Amino acid sequence: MDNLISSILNFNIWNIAKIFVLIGLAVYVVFAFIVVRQVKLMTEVVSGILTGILRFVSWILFLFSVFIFLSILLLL
Amino acid sequence: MPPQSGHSLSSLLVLPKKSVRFDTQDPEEEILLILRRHWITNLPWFFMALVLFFAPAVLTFFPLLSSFPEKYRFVFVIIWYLITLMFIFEKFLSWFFNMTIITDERIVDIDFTNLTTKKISDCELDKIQDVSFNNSGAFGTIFNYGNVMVQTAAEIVEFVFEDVPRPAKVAEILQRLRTEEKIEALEGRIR
Repeated sequence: MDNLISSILNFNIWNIAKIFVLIGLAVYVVFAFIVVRQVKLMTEVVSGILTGILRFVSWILFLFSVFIFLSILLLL
Repeated sequence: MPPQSGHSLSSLLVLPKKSVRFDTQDPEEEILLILRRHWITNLPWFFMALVLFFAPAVLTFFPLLSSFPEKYRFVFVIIWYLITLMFIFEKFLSWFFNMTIITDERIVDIDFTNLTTKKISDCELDKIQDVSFNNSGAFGTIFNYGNVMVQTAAEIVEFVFEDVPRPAKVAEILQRLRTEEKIEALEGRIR
């Protein structure tokens, strides 16, 4: 009983916050990957207009989101 | 046809380069027009993006997150800008890929409603029954954009090209293409 009370008293809200932040960022990474796939599909539907640039930007966004996820994982 | 004009980010591309193609295009089919919403219709989300971009600066005047540890405040700002970046990119893609392609054979309408939904429909030019257009609102009148409505005898009864630049000219081109296509059909030159 004492252990339970002490664990409740020592409960750190920021650990929970960290989990939520990381879940949110993981969802963002998945979303960024969907964007990469969708840009690839759309540039296959219509090709020749900014195809390379749009694919490049979508990959940069995805890789940047992975980088941010890993950085925050280490930072928090 | 009007002379070749427009670039990759134009709302109205006339006779684009040969390198521009769509996936169901026949080898002999030529793209005559590519239509998107007029660029001015992007202003609402552009201003929204500006607000999102400068919003974290407001926190220096209203320290809403002052009770948070320093590193969590930093993370909040990073996440905020990630969301802003994705918002801008998604809105741009939505405008960029929502297009209508008019070839010498048909109309291809590409609807890219959001990142997970797209719809592609087409109609042969000789199936066009009626073309009409309107300019609506103050901006539509000032910047000369509006809707072009195309009634067809195809499976999709009506195509609406929303907020396209120079709707009168687009409607006129469609009418002329339809007439040419009917003449070709009468002369037995149809592909």
